[in-house]
Amino acid sequence: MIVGILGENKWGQALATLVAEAGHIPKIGKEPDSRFSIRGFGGTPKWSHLTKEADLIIFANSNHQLQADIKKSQLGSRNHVLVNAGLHTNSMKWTQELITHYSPAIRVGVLGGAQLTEEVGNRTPTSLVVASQFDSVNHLAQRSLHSDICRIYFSPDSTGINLVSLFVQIIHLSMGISDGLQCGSGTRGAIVSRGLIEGARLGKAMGAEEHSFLGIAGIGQLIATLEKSTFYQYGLTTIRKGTMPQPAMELLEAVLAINNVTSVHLPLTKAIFALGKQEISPTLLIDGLMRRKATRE
Amino acid sequence: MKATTTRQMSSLLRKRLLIRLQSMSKAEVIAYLSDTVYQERKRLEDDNQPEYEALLTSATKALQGSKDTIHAALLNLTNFYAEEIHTHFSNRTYDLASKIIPSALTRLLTAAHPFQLIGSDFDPASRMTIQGPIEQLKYLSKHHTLVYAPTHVSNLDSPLIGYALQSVGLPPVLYGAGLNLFSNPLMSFFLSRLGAYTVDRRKNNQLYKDILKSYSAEILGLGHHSLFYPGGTRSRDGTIEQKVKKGLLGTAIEAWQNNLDSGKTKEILIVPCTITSSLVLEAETLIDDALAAQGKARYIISDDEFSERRTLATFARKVLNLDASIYVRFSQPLDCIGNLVDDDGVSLDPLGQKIDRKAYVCDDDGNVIQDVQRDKQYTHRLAKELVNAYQRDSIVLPTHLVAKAALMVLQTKHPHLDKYQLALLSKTERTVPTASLIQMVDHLAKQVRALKIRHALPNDLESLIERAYQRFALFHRERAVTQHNEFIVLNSKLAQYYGNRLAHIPLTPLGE
Repeated sequence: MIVGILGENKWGQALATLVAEAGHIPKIGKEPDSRFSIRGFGGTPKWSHLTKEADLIIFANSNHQLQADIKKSQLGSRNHVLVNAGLHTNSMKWTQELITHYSPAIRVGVLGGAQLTEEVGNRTPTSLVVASQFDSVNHLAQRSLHSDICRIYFSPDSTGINLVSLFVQIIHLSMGISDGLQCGSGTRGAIVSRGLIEGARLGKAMGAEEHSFLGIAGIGQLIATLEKSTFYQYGLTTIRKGTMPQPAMELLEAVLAINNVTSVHLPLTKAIFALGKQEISPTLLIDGLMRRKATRE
Repeated sequence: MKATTTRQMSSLLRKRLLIRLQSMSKAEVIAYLSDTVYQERKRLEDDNQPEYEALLTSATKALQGSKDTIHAALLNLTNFYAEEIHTHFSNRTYDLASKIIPSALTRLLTAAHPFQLIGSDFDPASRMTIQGPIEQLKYLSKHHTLVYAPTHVSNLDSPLIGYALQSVGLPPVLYGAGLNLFSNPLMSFFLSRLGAYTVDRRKNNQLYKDILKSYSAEILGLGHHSLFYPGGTRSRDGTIEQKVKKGLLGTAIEAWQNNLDSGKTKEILIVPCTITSSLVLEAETLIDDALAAQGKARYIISDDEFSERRTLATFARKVLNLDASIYVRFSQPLDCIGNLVDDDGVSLDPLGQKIDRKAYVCDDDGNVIQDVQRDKQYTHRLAKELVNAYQRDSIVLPTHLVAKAALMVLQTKHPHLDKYQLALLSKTERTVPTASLIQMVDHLAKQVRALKIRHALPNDLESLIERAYQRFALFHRERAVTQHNEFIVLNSKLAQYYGNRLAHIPLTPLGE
């Protein structure tokens, strides 16, 4: 089986390793002027050729450049496609929706879980989850990536996997803020549990499975990537510099916008957003969250 | 359209059933038949159908026999169902019926005797506005098989669509009509001559449902244009369908793949369609049913206004005699996956580029790959696109806007009451100032125009409100909105029903 991996970043290389490890042929979609060479893996700058040839296409670049990558790939109605879970904040579309919106491809799934590129390179055991409403995408992705060094789970709950990827970032951001304020490990525990419950509550209102929040893309990714997380660093920066970085603000704004339809109670997200907008001081933020009415868990 | 005899159809359905049965174990086949027998015996407790009962008795005995005996019993039941369902449509009958459609529709709507000469001045053509890509549909209907998928609010929808198709020169369609519709003798006369096949929604057993789906797939495969109501039943609360049933809709993709497999060049295309009318004949019964706890139990309403000839006649005389009281809008056609198609029937991607739709279901060599789960997802996508088309192409009429505005004013007066409590208010509690209504209508009309939603609202506010009052005064026992100088009295149930037609539009009340 040929698996086309569009993007030659470190995640693309890690995916190519996983495909090869699973006994299939990875082919990397390179940039036209790329001088980069990944030893052992074939590649081509002609993405449209790759989409015709490959049994499965995986978009490896960051979600910010997904729209441009879709255009370049010239996906067809025959393609089975995998893309990183998440939200394209500019268009407010889930990544797989962006693909179906800008191409004829319909059989699309999302890939969730920690993207531990170094560990894959070192052949350290890891796991990922694939979520698509199409069984054919789930099975194809599992066949393409499952090996002795990576377990691939699959799920039909693409909404849950997408949403939990956002909440993992919010929890990382909150933990960065909490650590920046030196609140201690008790607060960390509260942030993780309340953040996940908040996400699961919103997920349930959107038809997602609560179970997804406890899986590879939820609690698994949360623990696996904390120290390496960009959003954890954004949290520390927020306290250190007194302003929240723009991507973190965009994420919070996007989650609150998603919630406009469902109107679920999201105290943690709202409080962190208020902090980002400098409507509330960090001390008052913690105080406000702690003074909330005592409830049953 | 080439007619198919009952025997031919029965044979096609039996072939399909046999294929399904071959993949089932004996235990599964027993469960399949026993479910049918149990459900039908239970249903027939209050009904007397000796021939059918005898068939069920023999099926019960077959349950003790070999797998072949059980197969034979299922095939016998298939024959029986095929005979009941199959339409006796023929071109000759249709041509004849087409010539008499305007007068037949007039007779139907004026409840005159079928053989009585037309005395009414009712002219359907002047009462109905038909919109949409008619020329494209005419071309596509010559080369492909079309499935019309309209919104559904009234039992009058089928004859109205039939008339709309005929009047713009589109070919006839076959469609499923509930057995209860045949209770009106005039309607029965009319339906049976215009391609209606019978659907008995009381039969809830799996065999009957499977046969109905197979029937739908077969008639599409034979190239007959069809009509389904994807909502399944009339909207009870007046809203436009937000969700659609996927059973019959899924037969389109099945038939399309069968066509590809057998090398037929005819494609199957779906035409969303919205029917919008100022007033709905059955509104009072439907909203009562929506609000009543027993709504589900009364799923099949057989005693609504439609079954009363005199009521039907009053409705026709008073409501359908208005100018432009009904809008039938055909939307852009879709393929079975939910993609738009161009004038030649070629599928387009979301950016308007031509795409090869066969690649969604075929391998590189053009062979169809069977995948039930995939097809369900495609049907799900098609259903979503239908709902989008309904919301995009329905038309806001004065009665809808004024009902919505009146309800919003009432909700402002009673902010803590839910829709059920609003329906129980006394006349005094349902009275609101006319000035508040006028302000709210103005506010909502501006939003409708700003959102660029299709509408047929007069530019002048006074005319808009006057037209709605006029319409409301025409038919229902109690008007949805009645004006008494400085005050208006709402029938909150009817106001909910007509206002709900705009439920999909994000309208905000004054002051928010």
